[in-house]
Amino acid sequence: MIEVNNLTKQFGHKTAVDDLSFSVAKGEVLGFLGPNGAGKSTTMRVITGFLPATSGEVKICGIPVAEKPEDAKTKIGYLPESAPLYEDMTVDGFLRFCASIRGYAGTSRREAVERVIETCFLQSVVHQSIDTLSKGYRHRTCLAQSLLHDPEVLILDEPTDGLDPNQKHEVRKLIRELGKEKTIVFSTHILEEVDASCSRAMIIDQGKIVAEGSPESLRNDGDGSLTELFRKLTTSDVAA
Amino acid sequence: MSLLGILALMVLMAALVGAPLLVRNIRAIFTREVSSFFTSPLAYVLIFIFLVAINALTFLWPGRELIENEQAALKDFFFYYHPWVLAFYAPLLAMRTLADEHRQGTIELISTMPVRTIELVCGKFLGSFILLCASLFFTISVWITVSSLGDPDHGPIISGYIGSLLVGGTFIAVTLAVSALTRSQVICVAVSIPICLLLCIIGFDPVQNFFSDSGVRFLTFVGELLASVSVMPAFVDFSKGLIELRYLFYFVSAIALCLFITNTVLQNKRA
Repeated sequence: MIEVNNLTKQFGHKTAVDDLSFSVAKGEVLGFLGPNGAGKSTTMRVITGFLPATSGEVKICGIPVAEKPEDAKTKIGYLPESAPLYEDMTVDGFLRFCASIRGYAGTSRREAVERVIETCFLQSVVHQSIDTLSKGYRHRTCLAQSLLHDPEVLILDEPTDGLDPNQKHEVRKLIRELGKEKTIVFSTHILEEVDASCSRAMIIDQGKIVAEGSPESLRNDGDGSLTELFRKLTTSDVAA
Repeated sequence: MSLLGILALMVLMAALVGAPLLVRNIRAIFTREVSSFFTSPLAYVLIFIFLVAINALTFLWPGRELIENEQAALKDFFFYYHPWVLAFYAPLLAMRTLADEHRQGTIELISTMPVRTIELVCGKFLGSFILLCASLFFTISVWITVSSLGDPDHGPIISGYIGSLLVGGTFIAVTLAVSALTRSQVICVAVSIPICLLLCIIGFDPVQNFFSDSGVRFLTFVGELLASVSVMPAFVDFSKGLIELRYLFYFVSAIALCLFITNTVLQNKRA
């Protein structure tokens, strides 16, 4: 469903993503781990078509993102790291706007919006203005827009960032549920999320893959602890 | 301008030929723009200031007061000021539209949805243009005043409003192109307003007379070149009641060119 071949992304002289190659099949949930600045968000931004690659290729369901961006984007639901929203709209208005862009109109639009409101537990804030929402609700609203068109591929950038433990639990449960039918890639640096939600994980550091495998195999490599493996394989930007 | 216009239109057509523009997307975007404008108190303040400026200039400019001069023809006492006021108002109206996407981070959302950049640009333009229409609509009070006091010829007034809309639309398109190049609203306004003023000045009669009366062939040529790029000659004709095809073409191609520039800059900026 997702194929990344020799992806490189440079910003001027800085190489953020260095010859990255991996693929994700249908029904797989891939966890992207790595320290800050490793290239996780940049990789996701290239996959979703927000940034063009410097070299290499990304295919979504066989569609090359660089050549047919609009077709590829219809297959993807994306939750950016900052969970951006239009501050002056209500939750309902925002979701209706996104649904229109996704091609829904009339009854089908209303049903799609109601469906995601229920999935993401937004019933109590439906008519509230987005600039008054708490962080948890903002994240869930942005997650809701990524689910509107029932996409085959979900790209979630730090979906539990800043949420309280209850909310984290709900989001992880949701990811597990959705992962049964969809292809999901989510990034995190909360290592316990790897066990909780994904079928496969990848550790990225300085734009390169440094470890890959199922959560169990990674833990074995790290002598029983994922944190140990993480600390062993990734460079710290703080002097030891 | 006609050659440049043809070129601009051809380029725009080529850009669109790949796939038909999704009206649905453009409509969703400009609907959002228009409703979002009115959630901010700034919007009402802007429109109010615009109306005060237009009305004050019309009724209170010393020596050119509408009532004292007993002129029912609005050309010299009302439409005369429009391009100059619009050179300030249109950039103020349009400066937020792209800048807000960057500020809120929603550019990342909209760029990862199946919306083509040209659809986003057209939606943004139409959003600001609709607001311009609304602002100009409220100046109808002057038309009503004049109609009740005298017997004006309505044809030139209607074509004058069409001219104002086209001038405003051109200035909005210029502002959009500038806002694609800079993230700062302040810089955008500081660059757009002078450009719009320049587009007025180079076609303004006293300036044009300088070039045409100089007797130097090169200067006369420069004068004609400037007049062909300026909004003024076109607008003056519109306010007299003359809707000439070449001037319609001028406005359409100027807007198309600016939108094309905006589209190109937005697409290439992230590469």
